[in-house]
Amino acid sequence: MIDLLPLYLSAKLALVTTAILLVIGAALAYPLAFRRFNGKSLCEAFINLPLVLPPTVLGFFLLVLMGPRAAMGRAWQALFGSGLLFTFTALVIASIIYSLPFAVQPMKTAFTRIDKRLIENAYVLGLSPISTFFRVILPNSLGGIAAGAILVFLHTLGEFGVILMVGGSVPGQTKVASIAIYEAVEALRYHDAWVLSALLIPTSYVFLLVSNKVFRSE
Amino acid sequence: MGLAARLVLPRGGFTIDLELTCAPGKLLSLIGPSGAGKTSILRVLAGLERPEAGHITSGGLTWVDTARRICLPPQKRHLGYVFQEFTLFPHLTIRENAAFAAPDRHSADELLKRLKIWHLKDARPHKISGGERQRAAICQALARAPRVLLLDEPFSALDALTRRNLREELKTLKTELGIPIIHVTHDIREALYLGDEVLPIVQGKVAHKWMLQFLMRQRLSSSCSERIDWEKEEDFNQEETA
Repeated sequence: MIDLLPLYLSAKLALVTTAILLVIGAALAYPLAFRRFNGKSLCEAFINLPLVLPPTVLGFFLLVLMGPRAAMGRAWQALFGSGLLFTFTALVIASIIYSLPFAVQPMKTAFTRIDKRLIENAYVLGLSPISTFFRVILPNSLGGIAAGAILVFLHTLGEFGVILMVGGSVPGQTKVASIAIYEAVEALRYHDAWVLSALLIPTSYVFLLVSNKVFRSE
Repeated sequence: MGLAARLVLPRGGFTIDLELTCAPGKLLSLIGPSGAGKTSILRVLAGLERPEAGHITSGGLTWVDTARRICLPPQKRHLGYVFQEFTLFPHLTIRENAAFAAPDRHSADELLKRLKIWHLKDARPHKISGGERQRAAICQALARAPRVLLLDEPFSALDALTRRNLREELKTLKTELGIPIIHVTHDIREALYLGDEVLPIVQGKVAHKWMLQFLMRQRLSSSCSERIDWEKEEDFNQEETA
């Protein structure tokens, strides 16, 4: 009997990461799209860094940061009484950082495309910048937001290097589908690897189709 | 207690430097060629741009006083602004657009009926004509009962007949509203037809009165067909009113 728990964990991780990144992505994309501030290009380059860094390099830094000797790991231990590394939470944090550019860039593009006069009209009609965001910007950027969400979901579903570094392979905790496939191949359990891979392919394919459609309609 | 402003604002090749006043129930037309700084003046009045120096007061309230570092944001000026281009919110119906900033839906609905677009209440902005969109934009601006109305070439993108009808409606609305209305146009006929006062603007400054007289003479002494058109328009407006 093939263990399908890794597939469930992958889907759970992708969903949690997507939900959190929708909020963080919008909060970061807004100033990048509408505000002028010193160091804007530096911030943008930093957000996009995971696009070019090898996942193992990012994973290594996160491993050190979340470790018991680093400030983040120690703070976590003090707050929650247990270590952060090799937990599902560690996977979520790593996935958020790793997929950040996939959320921010489509949202920023969608925000930038909004006619500035609509925003000015909302201000003149008495709306605060926050109300304008929720009543004008957000409803007119749904395509970009949906595209960002789909990209983050797919990217998280396919993560391997970063997850291996900070999560290891704890069954039921951090052993997601990509790790389970790798382990199955290493143990020459090709049948298991085939089944898990075959289940991941149509899921990713359907999401990509939807994503392409959303991008085209944008 | 109308609107009074003194503005200094550097633009690309010139500096806007002028004074204007508009009493409640009156319409002040700013006329001038493209690039004269007319839209910038409205943007400063709306709070979308800050003047380098000057002051704006409306109804006894100071909106801008650069000497005292006062500059109210657009949200606190309580004005209506009809933009040159269509700025209705594309995700909302015409009714939702009109009621966007209205204190109650009823006032917005009344305006839609008044401006003869009630039958389009459930349509989206991209499904209706330019004239209908501009009527909806006027409804949106007026539904919140603004203290000042700014009109930035509101009829420039419309065909002659629609422009004529809307001008007529605006003229009627002007007296009913009883608020200062600042209207920007490059059409001397429109300015003379609507404006209680016409201020010619050239390169950010109020041109001499002889400029306005010159523009009027230009209109009156232009081609014969132009004069006939204008007369026809007067006749049409009278017919419409009757």
